[in-house]
Amino acid sequence: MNKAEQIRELARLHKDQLPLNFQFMEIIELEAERKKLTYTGKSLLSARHPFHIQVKKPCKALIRIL
Amino acid sequence: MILIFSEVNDLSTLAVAGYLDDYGVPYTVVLKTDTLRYTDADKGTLYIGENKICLKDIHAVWFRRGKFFIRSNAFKDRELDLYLYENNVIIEDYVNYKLEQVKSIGSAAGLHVNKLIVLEKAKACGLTVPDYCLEHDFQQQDATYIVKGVNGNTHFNSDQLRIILPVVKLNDSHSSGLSFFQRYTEKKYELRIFYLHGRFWSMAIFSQNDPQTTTDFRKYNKERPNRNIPYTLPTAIEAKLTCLMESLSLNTGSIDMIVTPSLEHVFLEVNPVGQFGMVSLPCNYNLEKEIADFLKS
Amino acid sequence: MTYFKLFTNCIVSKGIARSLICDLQRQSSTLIPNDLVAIITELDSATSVEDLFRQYGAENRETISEYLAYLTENEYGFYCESLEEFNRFPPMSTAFSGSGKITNAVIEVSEDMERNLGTILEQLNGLRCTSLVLMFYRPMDIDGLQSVLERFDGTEISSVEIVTAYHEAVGADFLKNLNARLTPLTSILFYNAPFDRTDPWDRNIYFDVRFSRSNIHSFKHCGIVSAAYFDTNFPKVLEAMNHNSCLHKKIGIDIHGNIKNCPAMETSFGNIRETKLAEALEHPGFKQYWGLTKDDIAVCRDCEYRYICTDCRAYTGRTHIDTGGLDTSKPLKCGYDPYTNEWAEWSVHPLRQEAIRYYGLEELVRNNE
Repeated sequence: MNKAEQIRELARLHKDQLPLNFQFMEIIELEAERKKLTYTGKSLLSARHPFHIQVKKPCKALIRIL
Repeated sequence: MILIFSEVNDLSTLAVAGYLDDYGVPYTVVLKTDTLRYTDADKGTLYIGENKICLKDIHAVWFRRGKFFIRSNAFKDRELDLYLYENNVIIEDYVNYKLEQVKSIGSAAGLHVNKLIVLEKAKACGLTVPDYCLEHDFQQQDATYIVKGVNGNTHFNSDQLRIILPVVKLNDSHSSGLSFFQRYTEKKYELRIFYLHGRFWSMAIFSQNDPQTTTDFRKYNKERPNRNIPYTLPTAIEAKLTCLMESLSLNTGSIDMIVTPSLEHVFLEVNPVGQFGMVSLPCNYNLEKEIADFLKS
Repeated sequence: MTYFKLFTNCIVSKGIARSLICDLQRQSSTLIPNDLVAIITELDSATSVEDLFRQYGAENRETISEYLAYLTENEYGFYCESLEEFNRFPPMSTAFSGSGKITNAVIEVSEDMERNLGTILEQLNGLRCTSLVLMFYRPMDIDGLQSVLERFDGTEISSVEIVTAYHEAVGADFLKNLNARLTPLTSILFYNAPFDRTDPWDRNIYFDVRFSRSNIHSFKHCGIVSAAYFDTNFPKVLEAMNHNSCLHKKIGIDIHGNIKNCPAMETSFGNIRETKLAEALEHPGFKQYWGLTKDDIAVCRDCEYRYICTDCRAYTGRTHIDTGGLDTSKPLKCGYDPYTNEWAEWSVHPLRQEAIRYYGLEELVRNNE
């Protein structure tokens, strides 16, 4: 039994303890979620801030040569 | 000095920091991964890693995400670590109490609210809330009811899995553990409202056109996203919301409401650390600058 | 009474012959007839739908119904049941905001400058410039590009676009090596390539790669206005409504190290060898064009595309000067005529030949033919 099936089984067994919305739960694999992200995964460290800098193209063409 | 408790990937904090940089106002960002210490030296001194800040130099605090805390599991022993923890909580509460004495956005205490208490207080302030009840067994009613988590979370992660608890419209009778049932409210549009020290910025979300998002707009439709536009609350509703926020001791928060087809305003919930970027950007409110201006002044 | 509200994040840009709805939220623009603009304006001034039908008379009833159906079906607007509800939707602010003294920079990197790029980047980072274009009028090997990109470590620059000459070694391995390290590189253009091709970024290569047969030997190639460069998004359109859509918060360094608003412009505000970028920026003339919007520019002010297009002040038709001495002529390299709604090749227009000679663009124009 995989992990998702285990969770479903537990939710079924403890139906009377869990809120009703557990009977409608959906389970997805996070890895599959992460694979949908690509560009956003590219984040850089700033020397000045503790923040991650998200790499992104500017909102307009900075040069128009072609 | 402005003290900001936040996270590394919080874009809203980064945007606010940009304005503080423009103003040349010094600020320090504290992350959950930082090691924090406190001593009474110089009438109170905070140590953030190697960095030292005197409490008297801090003129504003933004509890964006997190608060002052002392990390400790020094003994790797349950009883000893519990003792240490109980000891540290006193220090943490004291330092957070001190930090809340200056101008602040958010508070250490207000990171979480109790949904059931919020609903009671909302009613007491004269706001309309959908009928709700906590029950084990759900009997089919004349009106439509929905069930949702009482803590407001629509999902949580476990290992490599995400467990999604959808908001469900009920058609049958069910039995379960204690659940939060709420009468389904027809909506013309939803409101997402950002509140900061008595001021409101509201956004209307037109989700009804799209069957994909009728019960919960957080299920995005990327092809044709819901329309989000600026909205002005009636002053009577603003007064009632102010009453609620004051009774909850919240100086900021993100409020969810529904406007019904008969144009009645119905209160759903308040999140003390809600995202304001999702109101600020679509409505061009520039709340990031409002926050920077508030912290600076 | 029923009222109709255009979603306030859809901005109507009225042209002389036709107009555009710029949908800032869904990032697309659509052409509409000016008759429809008149109706939208009427409805937006709180005229009820019933009154509108009455005003326009029975002969226009069907047309107006079609227009309203078009607006609702495309989710450009919605019905309000009362004036009270209508008034709860205030217009969206069209103010442009954002922090930083500079947002973007274009640098023509000479070999000399390549060695001192670190100090230039440090200055740009200090001004909180986030997007950068580096023009290399020469082929760059992998080591050269990597050492350039390494200098971005620790900065807050979130986008670097590179223009360089194609050479034999450029291939899949070359790009993979360039991708091996996390850098802010978002696009690379190889000019003088044996073929034309664009490969958008994907999960293997985190930047756009473009090959072009054109020979880019100077910044005289810039300033093209075409539909391919139109963009509809919040910052782009709001900036264009309030500032010059190309030059606002831009800084340029030309091949000789001269600090300018754009490398192709004439006026220099110092040389990087002796002047700091921040000092040049403080020069009274540096920002002279920052406030010049398309509403101030001849012909453009009548054009429906004016807020989604990007201006050019380096190459203009040289026909208009305002009272403050600013060039308010239409961009030279725009072939669109808002009066006839037709596109034509800009370089063959008889009235532009003098400007083409003035800027020394004859050779470039010939090569393009």
